[in-house]
Amino acid sequence: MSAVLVGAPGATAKSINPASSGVFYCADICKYHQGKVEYSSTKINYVSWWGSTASGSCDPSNDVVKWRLQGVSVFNDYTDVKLYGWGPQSWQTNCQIVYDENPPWAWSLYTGINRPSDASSHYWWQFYSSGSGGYYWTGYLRLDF
Amino acid sequence: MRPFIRKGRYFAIGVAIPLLLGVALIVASPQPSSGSVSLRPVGPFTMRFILTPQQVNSTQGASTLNELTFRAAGDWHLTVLDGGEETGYFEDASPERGVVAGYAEWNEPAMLSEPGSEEAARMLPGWYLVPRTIPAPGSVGIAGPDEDHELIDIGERLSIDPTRLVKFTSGDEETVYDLNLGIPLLIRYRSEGASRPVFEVTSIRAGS
Repeated sequence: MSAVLVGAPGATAKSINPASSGVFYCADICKYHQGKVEYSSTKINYVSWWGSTASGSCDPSNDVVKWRLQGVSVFNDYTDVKLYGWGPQSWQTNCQIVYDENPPWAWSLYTGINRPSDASSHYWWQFYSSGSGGYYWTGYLRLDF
Repeated sequence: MRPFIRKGRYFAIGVAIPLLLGVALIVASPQPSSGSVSLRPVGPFTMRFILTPQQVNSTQGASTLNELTFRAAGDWHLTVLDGGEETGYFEDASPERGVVAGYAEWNEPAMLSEPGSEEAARMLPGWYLVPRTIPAPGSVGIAGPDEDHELIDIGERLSIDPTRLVKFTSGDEETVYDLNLGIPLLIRYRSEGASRPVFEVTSIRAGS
């Protein structure tokens, strides 16, 4: 059975650490957004993300018709220094819903920064729902590693 | 709707007004007919709710208790009251201030829209309030309080008339909607290993 990806803003916790590179943690409606970090013992190599719309046959109960990554930042959690930042992405309108652990990582950026002992990567997404005149809403994901 | 034909004063008092009231009640009530129901949040209301995130392997994360005061899109305030180790996550939005989101311990919350922008004016606080379309009451996957007694329990717990509640089941996902407020009161994924709902309203009060 494929896992359903769900979550909510404000619910991430440092106690929930991904065990290894490639494990992601959903902090909002991660049916439609996901992220991951690829790193070695000394370097943070890539920050990657994925997103999706949900309109039409993808998810008839939802009217999300466009999305974008507003920004991604990597922090040294010990010093609170921002090590890397990028964004925003242009608006995307693809319609892909993947309910498993291996979505296509359509967007990936090489950072090449040194990896501190305690770091986190933060993603912010924006979505637009065409329902009832149109609404924007936000997605957020935090990865500790 | 057929046009109303006015035929006189007594007709209006004796027939038309009760007829119009009846039509209004029918329109506001769940319809066991074909078609779908469009749901969007109808403010103002204040609610407290518990969020329990769920990972792809069905492991559940730390819960947070939150309070949302919702007046309209782009005019709401969300506070994390308790739970979720070191979370303190917040979102705030208004047409004047724009939208910010982040953790209190961070020095630079993300500015997600420009103050006063159209985007800010139409910002919703979270995925749980995104406008949705569900099948009409009486359709497959839709249950009322007669078919699902959990709706009666939820109605009693939140002091809500259960006849305005429906449960929509789609795959592993179960969502209880309040048709009057246009929002979910409960979202649950019956995946293995997940015992708590990902979204559960614990109290709600309509009005500002």
